[in-house]
Amino acid sequence: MPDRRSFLAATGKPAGVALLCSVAGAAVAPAQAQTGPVRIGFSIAQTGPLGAPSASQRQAYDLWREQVNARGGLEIAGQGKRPVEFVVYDDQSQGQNAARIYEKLIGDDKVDLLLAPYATAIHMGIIPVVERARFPILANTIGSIQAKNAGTKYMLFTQPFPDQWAVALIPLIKASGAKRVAVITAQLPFSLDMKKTLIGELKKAGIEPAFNEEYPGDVKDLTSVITGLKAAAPDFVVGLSYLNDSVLYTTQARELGLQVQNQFTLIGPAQASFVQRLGPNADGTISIGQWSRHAKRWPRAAPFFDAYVARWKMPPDDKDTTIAYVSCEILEQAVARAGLDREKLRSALMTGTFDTIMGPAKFDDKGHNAAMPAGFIQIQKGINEVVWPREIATAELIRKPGWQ
Amino acid sequence: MLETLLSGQLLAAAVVSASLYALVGTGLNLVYGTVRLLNVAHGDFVMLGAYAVFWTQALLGWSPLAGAALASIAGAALGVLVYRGLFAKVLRNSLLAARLESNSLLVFFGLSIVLQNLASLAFSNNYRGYRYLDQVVTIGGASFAANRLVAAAIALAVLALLLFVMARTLLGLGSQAVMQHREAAAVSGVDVRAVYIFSFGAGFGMAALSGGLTSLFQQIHPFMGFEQTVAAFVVVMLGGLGRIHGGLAAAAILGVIETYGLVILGAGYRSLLLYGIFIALLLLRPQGLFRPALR
Repeated sequence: MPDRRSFLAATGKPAGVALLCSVAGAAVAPAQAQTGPVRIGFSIAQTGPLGAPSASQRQAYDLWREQVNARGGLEIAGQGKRPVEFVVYDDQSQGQNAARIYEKLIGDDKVDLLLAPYATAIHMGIIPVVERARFPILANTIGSIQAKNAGTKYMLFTQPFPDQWAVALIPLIKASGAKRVAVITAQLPFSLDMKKTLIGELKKAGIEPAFNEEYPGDVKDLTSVITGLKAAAPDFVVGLSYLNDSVLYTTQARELGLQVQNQFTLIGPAQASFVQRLGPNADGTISIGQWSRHAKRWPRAAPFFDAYVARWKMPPDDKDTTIAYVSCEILEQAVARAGLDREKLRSALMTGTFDTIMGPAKFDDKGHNAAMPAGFIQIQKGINEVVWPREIATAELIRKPGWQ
Repeated sequence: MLETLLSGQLLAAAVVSASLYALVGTGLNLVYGTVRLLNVAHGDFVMLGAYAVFWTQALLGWSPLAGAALASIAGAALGVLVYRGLFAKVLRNSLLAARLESNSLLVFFGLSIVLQNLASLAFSNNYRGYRYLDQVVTIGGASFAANRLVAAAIALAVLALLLFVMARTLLGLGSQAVMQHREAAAVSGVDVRAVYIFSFGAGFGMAALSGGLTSLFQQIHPFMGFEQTVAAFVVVMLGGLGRIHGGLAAAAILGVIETYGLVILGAGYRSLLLYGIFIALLLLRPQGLFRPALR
């Protein structure tokens, strides 16, 4: 029978973290670190509400590690190749756990490099830690204007910010020919951040939203919202939603016969499970992202897709998996140029141009990835195609087909 | 707004939500009511039920409804196994049994962590989903994907069956007696052990069934159970611990708030309304909705 002490030991955060710690490969004493494997540390939600979506990022990291090791290891400037080993902890979907874990990774585990955790809130938790330690890290699955304006020097951002996507959406809406635009927003950080910019930009473009409502992030029924939408008769619906409500919205919009010319849905359509669940009714859904398996102008896109499917028996998340993999590629190339010295690595990251599965990446003086546009994908025949901006498009923007 | 409020669509949506809340809540209530065990792993059995349906469908090509039937039987068997393995011995010892209510919280908490992590190891953390019966059906002006209607209909049928068993069979009457007063029931000749086995079997079976039914239209992942546990606890607390009818009424309230709350109060206040009612009821009627006042 567990007494109170053992209960606390099993559930208390630090001990819980230690219990769930897993080290991929053999542990290496710091003294051997010069010749042994390169140790790359990160925390990721293996349990809790982010446990499921984080798999899309974790699988990108794991695939990259396996590929690098199959190539003989990570090329380090001046040292040749060394195998890669991950030091991974479960942050249990909590930012404060992630902060402690990154302190431990840097201070106790003395890892050589860091990779980012999953999701906005968790990234926010580790900003002070990596900045204080002056440890460069490539953020990827974070959507926050606050982070953009935080003036970080060591956290660099691979993915565009919510306001960039909001600004970029306007020309797409105009090109679609839509006259009546409706916006519905889940009360969650990324979606609210995007809404903040989007409404202003719409008005600047002379488009007064025909409908503009928020709903709780854990919503279970959207009947009333969709009824309101129907009454507003929009031809372009911008759904600033997360995965669960993206599926719920699409299901209920179909039930209620809400037919629109174009449907944007923020988070979800990039995930394979979205199409699995909705089948042909997912077709025509527009979402954020700038990667497609068909992107011929980026020769590494298709091989990455094939390798991912071979390894995980499922397609990647076209946004989260690919942006996480891009971070790994950037880190790999920067380490090959500058080695493991943190300041040299940071300056290599800030000055270099990197070749990725999503085309070239280059950071501006704020550490934001300036080379990659905030783009949009659209599900066409069950597959995400890049439809915007036109320079990188793999298919033309289509109208949402009628419900099946 | 009034038009929306009075629409059959909203009412039907509330009924669909409520019936699934009732199913998941009643399963929990049954175990608490008879055995006085707080099963905080209840939602994790919901999760297992959802995976059972997903895998029988994906690997064996079963119909999800057949999968859900299998899931509920397997869930019931697992419930009996949990009773036999974890609690039967303890319940026989009156000293240990007295402390069981609080200790069961820890046992089930541990079980919850184990189940989530096992599911994560076995099935990976990725979201799973499938399509089944997703054509739109219109009945009396309200339109629904058929899978949601089927899920609600099965949930209501199972609940009706349970109410019948509770009211008309010896086992059900015995269960009610144990819920009211365990020792008195035992002295009067009620086979308390049989009641325990029934409660565990039915309770866990209903959890697995609700998982199978929600998997018809919701994404499946190893951590989906927590939300279900919270919903089940809200239903049970509102309705009164161990009060089956009270729980059903509470589930109806929950379903109505989820669907109508958004229309009446807007997005920001839905949770406030839900938990406001919850706290108000706990303050004003701590014994639950329908239980006589505590003296």
